[in-house]
Amino acid sequence: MKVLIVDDELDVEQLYRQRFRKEIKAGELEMMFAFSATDAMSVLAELAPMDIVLVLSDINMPGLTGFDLLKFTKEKYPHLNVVMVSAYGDADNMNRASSLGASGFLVKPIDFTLLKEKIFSI
Amino acid sequence: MSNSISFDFLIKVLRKVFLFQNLPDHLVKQLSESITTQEFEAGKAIIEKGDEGNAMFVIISGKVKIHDGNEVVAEINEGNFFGEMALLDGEPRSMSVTAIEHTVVAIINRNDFFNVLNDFPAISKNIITQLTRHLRAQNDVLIAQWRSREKELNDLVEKRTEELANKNSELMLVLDNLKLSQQQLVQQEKLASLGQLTAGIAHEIKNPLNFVNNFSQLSLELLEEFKELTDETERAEILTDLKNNLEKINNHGKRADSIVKNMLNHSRTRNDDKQLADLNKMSDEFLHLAYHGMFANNPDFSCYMKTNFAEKLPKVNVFSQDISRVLLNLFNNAMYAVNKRKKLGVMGYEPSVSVTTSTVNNCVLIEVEDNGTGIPETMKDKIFEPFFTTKPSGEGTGLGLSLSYDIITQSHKGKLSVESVVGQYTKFIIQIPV
Ligand SMILES: [Mg+2]
Repeated sequence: MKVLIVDDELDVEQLYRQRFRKEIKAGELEMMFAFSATDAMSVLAELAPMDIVLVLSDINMPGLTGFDLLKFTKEKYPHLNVVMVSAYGDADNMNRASSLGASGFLVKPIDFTLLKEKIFSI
Repeated sequence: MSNSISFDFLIKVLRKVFLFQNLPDHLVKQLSESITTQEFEAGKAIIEKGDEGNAMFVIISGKVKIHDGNEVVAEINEGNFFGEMALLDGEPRSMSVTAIEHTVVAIINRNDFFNVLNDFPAISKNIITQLTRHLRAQNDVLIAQWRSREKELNDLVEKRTEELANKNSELMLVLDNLKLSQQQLVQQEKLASLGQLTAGIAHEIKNPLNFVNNFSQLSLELLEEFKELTDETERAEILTDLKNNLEKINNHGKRADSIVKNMLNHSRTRNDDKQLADLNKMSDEFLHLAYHGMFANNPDFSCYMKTNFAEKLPKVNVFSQDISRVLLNLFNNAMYAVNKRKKLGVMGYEPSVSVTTSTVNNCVLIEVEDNGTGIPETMKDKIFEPFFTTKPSGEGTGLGLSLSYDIITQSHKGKLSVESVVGQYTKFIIQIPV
């Protein structure tokens, strides 16, 4: 199972890799990282989307935002699950995410137990 | 000669007149024979200023005033005479004479008068004495008038001076009030920018704090795992992770600390001293604060942020609080401009704000450039003026750039300039001497 994580903070990679160390080691999970929406788009274009089951995207990123990426992904790869992650858990952002087709919304700091459930429920 | 007045009476009257006092009898007689008399009701003019001076008058009965318009020079009555001056110099009358009550005058014509003068030159002495008296009297009146005018004038000057002094102290009060409101406005502008910052600050602190929490939580779990592990390779792996995590905790802790410091610095009333500051670091931090501030207020907002920092930028002595306000103001404006252009909805537009530092001629340059809406040529002169704003009311105080301008040019002896092309870009250039 391949997950693409998109965030402008570089340290999320170390965080996620440690958090999911066992799963990664066991080969249950493969993680890819992109540090901007544009990066993520090229990753998605390169790897067949069927290779990836889930995109986990930050909203507030310089350049294109997580919403731009969400829109792009849902238009191009409608069956791909996108979960939004943001420090701003207000109703506006949540409604916007769901109306654009996000399959979930996680508020930072991330509850990793919840995230694990989310990932493995797919 | 009038029928109602007897010849003898006229002689008596003339005798009483100072001018003719020493005149021999026959001459008085001669004069009396040529005299005519005339009556004037109260208020009637006997002489008008500017009339030809061809006769002199002796008051037989009644009272007249000698005047120039409303200015009364003298009031004279029975036995006195007037109009002799014009008779002598042949000039037009310099004063008017009007009857105050019913008045009868004897009129001595110019020719008759001169005949008497020819026959009895000694009368000249009387004339001169009389003229001197008249002149003196007139002079006294004029001096008195002048004195009263002078006093009036002095009073007026005194009054005006007092009024001015009052006005002046009023103005001083107004000035004091203005200074106070100016301070309040500056404070308001500070608060407004701080308000805008708050969201950015909250986000900018939350991110590193999340990392601190996440990595420390993670490390605790790793330690538990470590205790149970026996495999050396795995233990070594965990130790490496732990070390990395501690570094991350440390870094993000410092990051949050620096943001809080900046915020405190920004909102403090006044820095006492200049401090050596790393303008690269400040530019970077405030670019991000501004970005998150914008984002928190407009969820649709986003832009590319580019930084081109000179590697060996010298530290500069600045009021760091003031410089941070300038940076924040310029970044906010830049982001506002790109957001405005983005809202026009032109395909393929990539909003971008960049900051570039360099050293030129012993000055540190900070260039803040955006590819937003741009500033029209006609506005370029005005943007540094207080209260100039293009933002809708309520969105800007119009003080940001004017304060920034003062901070750079006055407190730091630097320069703040702008380049812009409408629809292409705007670039603000801060220049601060090292
Ligand atoms: Mg982010």
